[in-house]
Formats: sequence, C-alpha cells, structure tokens
Amino acid sequence: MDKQIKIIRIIWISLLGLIILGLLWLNLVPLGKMTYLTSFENSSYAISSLLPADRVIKVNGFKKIIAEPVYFTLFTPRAFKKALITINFSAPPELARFGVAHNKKLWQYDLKTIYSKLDNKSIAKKLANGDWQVVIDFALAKAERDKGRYSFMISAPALKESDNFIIKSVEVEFSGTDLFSFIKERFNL
Amino acid sequence: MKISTPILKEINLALTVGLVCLLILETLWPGAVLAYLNLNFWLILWFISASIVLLRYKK
Repeated sequence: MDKQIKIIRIIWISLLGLIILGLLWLNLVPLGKMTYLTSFENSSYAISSLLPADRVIKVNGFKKIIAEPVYFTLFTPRAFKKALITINFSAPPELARFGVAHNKKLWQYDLKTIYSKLDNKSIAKKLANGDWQVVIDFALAKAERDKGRYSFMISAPALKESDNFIIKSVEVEFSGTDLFSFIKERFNL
Repeated sequence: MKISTPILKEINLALTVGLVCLLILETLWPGAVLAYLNLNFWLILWFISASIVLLRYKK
C-alpha cells in the first residue's frame, strides 16, 4: 500500500473512532447532566420548534406566541430525574404558565405559574434589560418520555392579541444519576 | 489542485465506512446519531466523492 494512502487511512479511522467515542459519551451522559439552550430559531432532531406553528410568529429572530398553548419537545438519550429550566421572555401575559407533560393522552401537565401580577404569585423576575426571567425546577419521575422525548407546554390563558409575549430563550438542564449509578439501578446490582 | 484517484477512492471509502457505522449505531440506538449529527450532509459528501470516482473511471 502506498505510504500516503496508509497515512490517510490511519487518519480517517482515528477520526471515525473519535466521532463514535464522542457520540457514545454524549449518549451515555456519564456525568448525569446535560443542558439544552434554544431560542427556537431552528428546529432539530433534539429540540423541536414551538408547536403548533400557527400559534407563533417570528419577531426579530425570536418566537412570539400569538395563541396558546404551545408545546415543544426535547430529546434525551436516557431518562433524567430533574430538570432545571431557565426561560427568558418579554412582556408576559397574566397567568403565564410553564409545564412538563405527565400524560399527553390524558392532557396531564405539571404546570407552574411563572407570572401573575394579580395574586403576587409571580416567580419571574424582571431583568435590567426589561426582559423577564424565570428559573423553575421540575421533578421528572412522573414525566412522560415518549420515544426519548420530554414534552413541555407554555400556556397563557389570558393572552390577548395586543400582548407581546416573546420567548427569548429556554435553557433546560437535565440532571440524574451518573452512569455508574444508572447501570447499578438498571440491572439491580 | 487535482486529487489523485487513489486518494479520492480512500476518501470515498472513509465516507462509506463512516456512514455505514453511523447508520448501524442509529438503527441500534434511535436518536444516538441524529440528535447530534446531520447525516444529510454526510450523504451529500459521499455522493459527490462517489460521483467523482466514477467519472474518473469512465475517462
């Protein structure tokens, strides 16, 4: 075999090995934590867009919710125990809520009110730039994971046409057991 | 710059083996590859390299 070809073969086999090892690392989540950050500009296999599409419009690269509720799904390679969610948004309507699906067929969602001016239950905080931010913790023990995907809902029953409810970003930090404990739990070791 | 035919064949072999490995991994473990890699681009590159190799042989 030509020496040059031999070098190229060693390079591509190494690169392919690295890609497969990297994919295994990403999918096994050895440290038990993974994070998604999205502004829903583009959808991908792992992060869906805000659906149904006719309930959102694009404004300056962000998604404005014009009708509710809207949903999105996140793919995870394995189940997690908790999700810490940070949402940045602008002009929240009264009773804006965010939740994770427990049973989509029965329409069961674990919803938390993120903004309510009337009863002072708002857990969202106003940032210096005028946007709002909320950090919510969800236990995922009862959450439905359909084909590897957790489903989330953004609801705002009091949403009006004049509202400017724009989702700037959603960051979801999944946390669960590390790989060693996961294997122990799975195989009852 | 003209790439020699043996090198082109090696590139095509690399893309073919890579694509097959990733497709097997995706079949065995749904989402393991597609969640992180877009195989469409890989397939386009494979198609281009295969077409060039075939055209070289035709000449």
